[in-house]
Amino acid sequence: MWIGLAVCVVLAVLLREQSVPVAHPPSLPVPPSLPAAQISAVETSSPTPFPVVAPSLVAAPEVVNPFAPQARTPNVASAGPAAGAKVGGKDYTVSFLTSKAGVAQLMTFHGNPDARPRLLAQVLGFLDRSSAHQGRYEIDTYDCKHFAHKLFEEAQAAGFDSAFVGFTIQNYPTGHAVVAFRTSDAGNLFGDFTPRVRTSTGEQFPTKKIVYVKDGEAYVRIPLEKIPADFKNTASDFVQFRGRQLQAQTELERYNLEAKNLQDLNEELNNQILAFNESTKAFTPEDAPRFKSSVII
Amino acid sequence: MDDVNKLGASLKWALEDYGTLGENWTIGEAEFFPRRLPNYFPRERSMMRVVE
Repeated sequence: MWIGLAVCVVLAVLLREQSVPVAHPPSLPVPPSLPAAQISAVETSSPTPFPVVAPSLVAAPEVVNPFAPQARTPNVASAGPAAGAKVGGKDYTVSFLTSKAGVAQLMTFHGNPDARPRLLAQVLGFLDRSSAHQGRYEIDTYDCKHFAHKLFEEAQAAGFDSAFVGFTIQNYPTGHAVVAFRTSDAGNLFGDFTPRVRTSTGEQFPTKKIVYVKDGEAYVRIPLEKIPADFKNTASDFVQFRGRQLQAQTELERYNLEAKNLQDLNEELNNQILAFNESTKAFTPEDAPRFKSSVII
Repeated sequence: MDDVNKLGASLKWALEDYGTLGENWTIGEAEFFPRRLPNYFPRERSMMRVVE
């Protein structure tokens, strides 16, 4: 009996071990031809070092400089690199669409392997000192992508981890370009150095703006000189600024309407005065003889 | 070389216009350069593409 009991216990233990699922991390399918170094790079890399999300919604992403040597891995994505592309090299030539159908424009980007994320305050200070906003906008010749390219080049040269960002604009056949700076304390900060223009006069106004970039959402700009002291590059920073901006715009429109009403009233009063003067223009030098003859002494 | 334009597309790289377009932009799609892997702009109708 004891032998039978012992056999039952052993069988029960064996069955229990087989029935308990053992948790293993899901293993990624790895092509056998990839060497270990490449596999490591793939596993630790996200598809984009600068995800298109609100700065406040993400922590600063993993610190990897795409121009640094560790990024020099063969392309393993299905699309594959463009012909002749340098993998992880310092310089890239990028082809851009232009306003002329079928005509592309090439620009060269120089990456700095030593560029790294900086503090938000350091990035803001760099943007304040930069002169990349200077220049006259001219479509295709020197447009927003050129302003962004210049800022990108300055940033890379100064060792700031940064990216050129191009985006389309809903309902318009247009694109726009800005630069993303990866900060170590406030996510991705976006800078827009393209001037503003007043179409009616052609006047251009060089501006430096911190902007909010997220797919499908409104593009919010804060002039660099109006960045609040407690700015943290969060979505609410932009929402609050936009709210104040809209409120100021509403007040301005109301003020302009009142000014217009006063102007109309002023004009009407002037017309009444003119009409009154016209109607009472009874005595002029030419009227003197008539007046004199009518006077009864 | 300019494979970004295989489709014969065009794109105006805009600037802000007081009181009109620039005041009411809604972002469509944003693309970042560089990305970690070299197929930076994999979308077929991308506005820009690395060529060398």
